[in-house]
Amino acid sequence: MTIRTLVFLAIVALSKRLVAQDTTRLGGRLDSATQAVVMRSVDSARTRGLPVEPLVDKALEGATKRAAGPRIQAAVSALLRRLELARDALAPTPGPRDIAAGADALAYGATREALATMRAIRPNESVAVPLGVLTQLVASGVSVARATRAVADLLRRGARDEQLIALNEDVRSYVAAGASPEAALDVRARGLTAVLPPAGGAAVAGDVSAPGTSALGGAKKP
Amino acid sequence: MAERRGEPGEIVERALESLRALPPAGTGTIARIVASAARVRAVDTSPNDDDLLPFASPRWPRWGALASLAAAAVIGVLFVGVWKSMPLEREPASTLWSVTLPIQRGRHIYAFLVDSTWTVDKRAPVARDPDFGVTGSVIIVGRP
Repeated sequence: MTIRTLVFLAIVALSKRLVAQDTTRLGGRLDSATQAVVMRSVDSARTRGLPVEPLVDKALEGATKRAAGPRIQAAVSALLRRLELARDALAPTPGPRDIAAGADALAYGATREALATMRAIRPNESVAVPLGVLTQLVASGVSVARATRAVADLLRRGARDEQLIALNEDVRSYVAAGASPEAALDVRARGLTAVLPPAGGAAVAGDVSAPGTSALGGAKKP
Repeated sequence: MAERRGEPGEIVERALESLRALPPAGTGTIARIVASAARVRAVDTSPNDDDLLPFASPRWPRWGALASLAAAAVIGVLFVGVWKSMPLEREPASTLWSVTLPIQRGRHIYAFLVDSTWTVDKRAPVARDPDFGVTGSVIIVGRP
């Protein structure tokens, strides 16, 4: 038996073990047809080098929320596509958390260009939190374009994760007090900008914030 | 969002207020409290200090604390990350229920299941899940 054969057998054994682990995690909570679709998506993700846990999580999420099998299948298949889009947008070496966060942002309407912008601004750090804040701002009612510009502007100024999280919390508070989501974002982003250094460096590739359209400048009311 | 060791934090206060606002649980009532952190679940399943909330639990010093939850006669189960249950534990001589668990950096969705009813945390941001159409509460965890 050659070394090559041994390596092949080891890879096959590892693959079978990973599949068994995923199947175990699903724990019989899906009907057989849905489980088959989910496992095919998991295999496909693994083949393409994508994180597989978000897919299993999505299926379990659907089961927990008592979604019908076809809806779970559709959700997992859609997530697989989003994971691939996010991985490509966050190239060259996105971590699994970044990919999952990117896929989440895409689900709420963020664009591939927005993800690429975040990566360009933060090439060597995780963008999971900025993408999470972007996602939540959109979920809160801020337009995708406005939320993307705001987060990108703040990142360029060196905003840290916890500052972005605090901004998101404040936006929520302002909205709860009666402000519109976009007005709340504008006010809070201005406040954060005041304590951050000016944005430095050249514009980044895929920049979604064209000159003069900074979210921090805000759209003026007529 | 971050809490410092030994200081009562905003997360705890919010959780307390939220659960106090729930209807009183009667004797024998089993209230299930669940949460999910499926949104930004990573393949990296080895928690480390870089990934987690800075709050350190005395029970599991290397893990971050998500929240402490209080309610009378509540038995809690917390869903996190992989949608598996994790029971809350009642603090001795108090109505405080708590759990300590690893939290990955990023955005997480959670909810309370109270008597099998999906219940959002009224004090937390919410988001409607685009895949299944269910609204959950949101927590975003970052590095300090």
